[in-house]
Amino acid sequence: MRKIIATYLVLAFLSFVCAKQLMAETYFKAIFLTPERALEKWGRRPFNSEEFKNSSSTKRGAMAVDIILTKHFLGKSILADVRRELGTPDNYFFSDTIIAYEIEPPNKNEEESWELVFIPDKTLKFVKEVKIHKRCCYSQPSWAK
Amino acid sequence: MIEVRNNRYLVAKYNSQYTIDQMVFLNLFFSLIVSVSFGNTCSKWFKDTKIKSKTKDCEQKCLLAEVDFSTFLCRLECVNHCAGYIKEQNISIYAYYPGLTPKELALIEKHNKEAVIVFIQKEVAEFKAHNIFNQNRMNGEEDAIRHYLWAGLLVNHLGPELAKNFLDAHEANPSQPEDEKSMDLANNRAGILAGQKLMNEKSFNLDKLVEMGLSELNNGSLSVLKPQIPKESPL
Repeated sequence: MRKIIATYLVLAFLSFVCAKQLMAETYFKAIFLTPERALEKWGRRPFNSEEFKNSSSTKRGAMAVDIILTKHFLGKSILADVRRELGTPDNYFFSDTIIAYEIEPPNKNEEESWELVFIPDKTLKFVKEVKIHKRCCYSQPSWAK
Repeated sequence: MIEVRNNRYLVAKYNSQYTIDQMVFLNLFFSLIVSVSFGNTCSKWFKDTKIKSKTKDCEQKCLLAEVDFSTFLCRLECVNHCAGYIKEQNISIYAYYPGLTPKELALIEKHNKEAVIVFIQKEVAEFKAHNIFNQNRMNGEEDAIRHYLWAGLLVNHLGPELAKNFLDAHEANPSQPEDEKSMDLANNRAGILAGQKLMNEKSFNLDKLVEMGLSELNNGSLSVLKPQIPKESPL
C-alpha cells in the first residue's frame, strides 16, 4: 500500500507538470509555443533577412515572432525563398526534410532551446506552416534503444 | 493486438514489484494523466473526422484519417475512440511519419512492414548520433554519422538493396540543395559498406558500427559540409 501511495504522489506531481506544459501547444513528442506566448517571451522586431542570417541565434526570437505574425513565408518555396532569406538551417524537426532555425540556444544546464520550424506541404516544396518548437529534453523511447 | 502486447510488457517488467490489481490501478491513473494532458487535442481531432465510434469500420477509418503535426500520434488513440483493438497488420500505419518524400511514400506503400523498421532505425541513429556529438544537426559531424549509422542499421535489418532504396528515396527531397544531398548520399554509401562488412564478418552490432563510423570520420572518409569539430582535436 505504501508503494501505491508513493506512486500516487509521484504521478500527481507528474500531472501537475503536464498541466503546466499545457500553457504551450503540446502533443506527444513536441511542444510548440503559441504566437501569444512567443510575443511575451521575445517581443517583436521586423524581420530582416540579412540581420536574421548574420545575427546570433539569441537575437532571432523577436524576428521569428514577426515571421509568424505576418505569415511572411506561408506558401513560399522552401528552397528558393526560405533558404535564400534565412540561410542554411541549423536543425531539423522530426525528419531532416523539415528544416529549423535556432532562435534560442540551449542554456547552461541544456534545459531547453527554441527553434523556428518550417512545416512543408505534402510535396515538401512549399511552406504550409511556421511554428516555434521547443527542442529539449526528449528521452529516447525504449523501442529506439 | 498492441494493447495486449503493452500489458504483457508492463507485467513482465514490473511483476516482481506489483500485483495485477496494483498494476490496473496504476495503468488507470496514468491513462488519466495522459488523457488530461493530450486528450483535448486528440478528442477534438477524432470529433472533427466525424467517424462514428462503435462501428465496424471505425478503426480503419480512424487509422487512415488525415493528421497533421499536432495530431500525428492521435492515431494511437483510435483504440480508445473505436472501443476496440488495433490489429497487428495496422501497425504499419505508423510508417507514414511526417516529412516523407513522394518517393518514400511510394516505397512505403510497397514495403509497409519494412518501413516501420526504417522509422525505428532512423530514431536509433538520431539518438545515438546526438548522444555522441550534441551538435546542431545540419551538415556537421552529427549529421554525417547519423546517415552512416542509419544506413548501416538498415543493411542489418533489410539487406543492402532495400536499405539503399529507402535511403535514396529519403534523399529525393525537392527542397534539399545538391551539396547537402551529395553529403548525405556519400555518408549513406559509407554506412552501407560498413554494414555489409560487419554482416559478412557476422559481427554486426551498433557499438562496432559507431566505432567504424567515428574512425572514418577521423580519417576524413565521411563527407562533412560544415565541420564543427576542429581538425586538430580529433574525436
